[in-house]
Amino acid sequence: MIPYSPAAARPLSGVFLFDLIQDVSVLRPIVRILAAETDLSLCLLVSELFTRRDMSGLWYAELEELAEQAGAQIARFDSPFAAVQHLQERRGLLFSASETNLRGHATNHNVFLAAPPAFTRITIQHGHECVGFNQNREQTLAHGSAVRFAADVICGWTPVEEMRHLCASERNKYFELGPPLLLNRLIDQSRPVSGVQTGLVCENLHSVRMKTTGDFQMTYLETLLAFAHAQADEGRQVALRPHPGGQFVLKNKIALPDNVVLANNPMYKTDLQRFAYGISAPSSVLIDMVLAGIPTAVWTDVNSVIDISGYAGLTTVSTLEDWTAFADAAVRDPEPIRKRQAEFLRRMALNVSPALVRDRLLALVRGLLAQHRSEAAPVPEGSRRRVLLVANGVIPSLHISFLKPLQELEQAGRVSLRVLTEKDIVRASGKGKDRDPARGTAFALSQVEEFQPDIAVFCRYSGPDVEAMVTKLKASRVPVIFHSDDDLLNVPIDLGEKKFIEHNRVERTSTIRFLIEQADFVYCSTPRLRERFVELGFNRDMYAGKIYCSRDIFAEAEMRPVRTIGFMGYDNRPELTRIVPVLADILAKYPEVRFELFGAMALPADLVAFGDRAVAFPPIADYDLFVERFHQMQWDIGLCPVHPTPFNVVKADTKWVDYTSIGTAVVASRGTAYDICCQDGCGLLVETVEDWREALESLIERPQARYDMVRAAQKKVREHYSQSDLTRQVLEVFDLAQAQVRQGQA
Amino acid sequence: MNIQVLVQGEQWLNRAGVRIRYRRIAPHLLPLGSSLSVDVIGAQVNRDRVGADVVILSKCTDARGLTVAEVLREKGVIVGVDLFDDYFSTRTGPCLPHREMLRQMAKRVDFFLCSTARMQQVSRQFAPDMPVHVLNDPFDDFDKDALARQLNDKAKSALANRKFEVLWFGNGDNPVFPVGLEDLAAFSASLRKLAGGGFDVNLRVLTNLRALGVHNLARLRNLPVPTTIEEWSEERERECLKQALVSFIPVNFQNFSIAKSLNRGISALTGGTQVLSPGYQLYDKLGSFLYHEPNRLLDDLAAGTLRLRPATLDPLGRQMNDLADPGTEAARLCAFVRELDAARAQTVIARPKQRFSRAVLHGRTSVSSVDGLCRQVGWLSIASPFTSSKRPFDVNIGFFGDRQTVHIRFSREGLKFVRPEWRSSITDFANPSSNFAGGMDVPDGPGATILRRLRPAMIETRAGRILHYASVIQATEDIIGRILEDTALTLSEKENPLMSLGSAPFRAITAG
Repeated sequence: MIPYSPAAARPLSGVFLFDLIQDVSVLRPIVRILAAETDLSLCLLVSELFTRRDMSGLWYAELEELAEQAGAQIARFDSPFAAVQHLQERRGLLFSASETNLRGHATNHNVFLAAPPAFTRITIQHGHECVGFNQNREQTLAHGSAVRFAADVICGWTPVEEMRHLCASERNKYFELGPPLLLNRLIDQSRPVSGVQTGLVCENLHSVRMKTTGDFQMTYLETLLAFAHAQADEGRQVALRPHPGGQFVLKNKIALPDNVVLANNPMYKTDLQRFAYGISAPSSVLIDMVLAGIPTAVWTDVNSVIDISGYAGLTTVSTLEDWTAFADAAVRDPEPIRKRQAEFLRRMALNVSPALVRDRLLALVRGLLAQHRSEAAPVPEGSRRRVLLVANGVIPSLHISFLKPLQELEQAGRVSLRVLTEKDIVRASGKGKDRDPARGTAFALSQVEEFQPDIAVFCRYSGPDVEAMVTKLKASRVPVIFHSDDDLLNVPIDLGEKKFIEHNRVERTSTIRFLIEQADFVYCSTPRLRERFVELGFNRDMYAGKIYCSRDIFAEAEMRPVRTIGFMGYDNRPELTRIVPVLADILAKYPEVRFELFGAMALPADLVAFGDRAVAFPPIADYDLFVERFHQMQWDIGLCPVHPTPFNVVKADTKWVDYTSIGTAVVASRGTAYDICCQDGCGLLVETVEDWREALESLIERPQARYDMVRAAQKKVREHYSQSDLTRQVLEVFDLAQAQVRQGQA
Repeated sequence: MNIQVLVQGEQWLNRAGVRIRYRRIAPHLLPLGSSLSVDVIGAQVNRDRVGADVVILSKCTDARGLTVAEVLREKGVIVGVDLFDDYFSTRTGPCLPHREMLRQMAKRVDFFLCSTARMQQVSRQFAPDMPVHVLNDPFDDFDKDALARQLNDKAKSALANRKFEVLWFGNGDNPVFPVGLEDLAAFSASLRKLAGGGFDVNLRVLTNLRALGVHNLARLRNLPVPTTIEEWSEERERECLKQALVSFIPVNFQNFSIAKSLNRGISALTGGTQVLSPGYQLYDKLGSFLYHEPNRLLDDLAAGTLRLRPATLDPLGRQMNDLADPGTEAARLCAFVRELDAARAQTVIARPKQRFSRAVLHGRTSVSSVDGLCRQVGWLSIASPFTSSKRPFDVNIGFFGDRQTVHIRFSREGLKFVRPEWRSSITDFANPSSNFAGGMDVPDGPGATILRRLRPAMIETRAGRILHYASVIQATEDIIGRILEDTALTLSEKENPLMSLGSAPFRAITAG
């Protein structure tokens, strides 16, 4: 059984793919540095082909040594799926030094394509001239110039401008690392120079470049052998280094003169400074030798067909005479050659220090891991998603839109909520003469600092310190969501003079504008509110919720005669005033019917005369107590009178949901948010005063119709306004906001 | 009635199809006085050796199936073919071999067995009057008490820990149709919704190794929920069903997919998981236990009213009995074959008037097991000019060495079947180690001109083969008819579209 472990519980790993023999030399110093400088769990993932290519077993032994030095695990794979089986138990970074869409790199390319998303895939440039990065003519002839990578990050040796063959589509993945071989100097101490006069000749006769534009294999080999004989006459030895993967002279059993000694150790175990000079056909080994500071010559054919432009500035040799003259000059006076080589390194942008390469590597790794942590494990197992709710107070909107939908998740330990209100900030600023807004700001920021939220929601917030808070949150890459359920930029006087003045203060409307423009995500309560913001000129993506308010059914529909008409509302001047005469007539006509008003409104004078048949219950500030009290209402008909003003038409159908949840039939104004919810026999829509009268009378006189209406409405609430639907909507908003922030970073 | 199911190889004995379709009903046939066994197609060429009254060929899609069907019918065995995957109704190139095979098979069997009503409809296109029986995939018994405990525990744990596991299991690929893991990827939006309900959702994928190539793995990489991938085994399927809250079974709208049986849905339910199946409503018969919408599943989980829960296990049992009770399916199958037997007893079966030999004529691509079966049962194995294999055939009509013209060669065994009047035309080969004992040039006759004009270059390319196949095979059959004793010939061809060009129906080729 492979147990499922959440991403965050899997070990954070650096996994290195080894498929070609030369992968060892490129990746080894990176493995060593990461072993020394990070706490990553390291794994060397070795392909079946690698072991087949490594016929002598030398390189596998190198991997075992490396694993021991780095405390890494070795694992093997023979198919992309086998690699995935190792990877899916981990998360982190996946490195390859031979990954392109070319056939020769298929093994690692396929593993990259198949790797689980919990890994960031990194391809390392493996040579000075390298397919997909900077190609020589022979590579381009053989492989074309449209080489692609499956990697997420491509690490090259030099600035991106120098990368002549990096496809445009790959450029934004590029990271300038520098030559990884330089890292060896931080790991392996150089031995003292012995002063011998042995030269090092390297062969890469297997290479595509030695046979694509001409048969250079024989020419080079013959010159090499003749040179060895000539050196023997001088009493000198020649060291011969076959390419680690190619091993041409060995595989083809080329007979070598007695003064030729093989230097077949890995390059990182070869002290190049012990050689008097180095000669090679164009190959990255030239860079190794130049960086080691030994006089170095690049071989070219006599007709200059082979492309050596990547080494322009180095001494070139072709004929035996050239070789011999160069060897003599290097032994006699190496300094002028070294000077030219230093200039070559500068021009090629290869004159970077090993420490700089290390620092770049670590910066890349730490950066990717930080990003990886937030992407792979947005809600780590055992920890909570911390949500900071900022509002003017603990207002009903906060309850309806966030506190209630997230309540169950909070109890299950999946979400941690903290509410920061304008009142808290103002209180922290002090009172009267002691009032200091800076203290309020410091308090607000300290709340952010202390809580370390994963998400911040500004719910209708129009209070102080919004800029400071948003700046701090954004600096920490915390998604900022602005939520609104009203057009708070155009609050009308119908809501009462006090509210009108307060909401329209310029500092409040500026805050709202700032949040609409600067938040990472804007969450509107209704599609019509979103349209309103667009009409007001906010040219950005905004999200509109499908539902605003959710309710469970507290009182099932009941077949009974109408006894109570109710109105619940908070506004000082509700539209109720317009239909008070109708209510008075109804109460007069039907002596068994009562009227109840619940909210911040005095009983209209016209109804006072009905004594205990018309009652007003005062508002309850505590939302939970208010809801509890509301559930006790046994209303048969609920009223939703709304003027279709610009402010009202963008509001949600909350009152219809509330009434329906307590088994009350709804009569509502047409042309408002209630148009849709009242469809399909779920409520009566009215326009004129006369309509109100007819609607109320019809429900009083036809109890069956009222009962059917409530049943239909309750079915709709169950299906479309459930608590879990709203919870999902809120979580979707959080996910989208986080994705938005990640996308912005990318 | 003894029923024997023949499959095309050892590895097929443990496939899901065999396990579900045949082994589950076998014990239920015994009380009815019948039996069912499953065997690899081979030497069942006479009634004594097959030991069965009824033989069902299950995915025997090469010349062995055709020939064995012919021989067994001649011996009085009732022969049928089981159709449980719709490779037939889609008229595209890759389906041509399947369609052609079914066309050939329809001429050689007594009945079709189908897994679904949809397959029955499809089979009618090939043989409108063929008796057809729909054998529903029977379900495996389930332990109600254990299942109730499991369901309870899984729902509780999901709510308490806010996490659960989803299982996708089955064949991840198909050589012809984009199904399996491609469906999983195509319908993965449902998984996103499932994970959007505030739960940690992990998907476990159990599938065949062949499907886990790089392209499908790349598809899985892009799924919206964390995914663990494992190789399928029967045991792992059972364990993972115990573990998972939900089985995710998306179905696409291709002919192949809509003809599938209910077995995955039934396995998922009787294994103790909810079934979430977006796409084509293949599992509608499981209606009240099925989810199409992830949100409804999440709502029911929250409300403690998941469609499969301890309280609904009795209705599940009843539904399973209605749909696919192994006892009922066994009884219906028994009744069907008895009816066939009775009808057959009243029919005079035409027997061949004279004794003839059997032979398989190999086309361009044949399978080695066909040749193997020929040797096992004493049929002649004959190579045509198209045959690329160098096996030691009894008769080889083709090109040898550098020769540019068709020549005929005979093994020692092959020589025994040459008509006496042609024996003098045969040159004996001196080399005793050669596969061939003698040879001859193409004799005069109707097919001679075609074969004499044929050159290797004419049939080297696929286009050339398509052009010359029908005439050359016809000519080859003519020659065989002239020089060999009376022989019943079956063409063995797997190269697409050659199998539809040769179309050698069953025929006894006689002299002249």
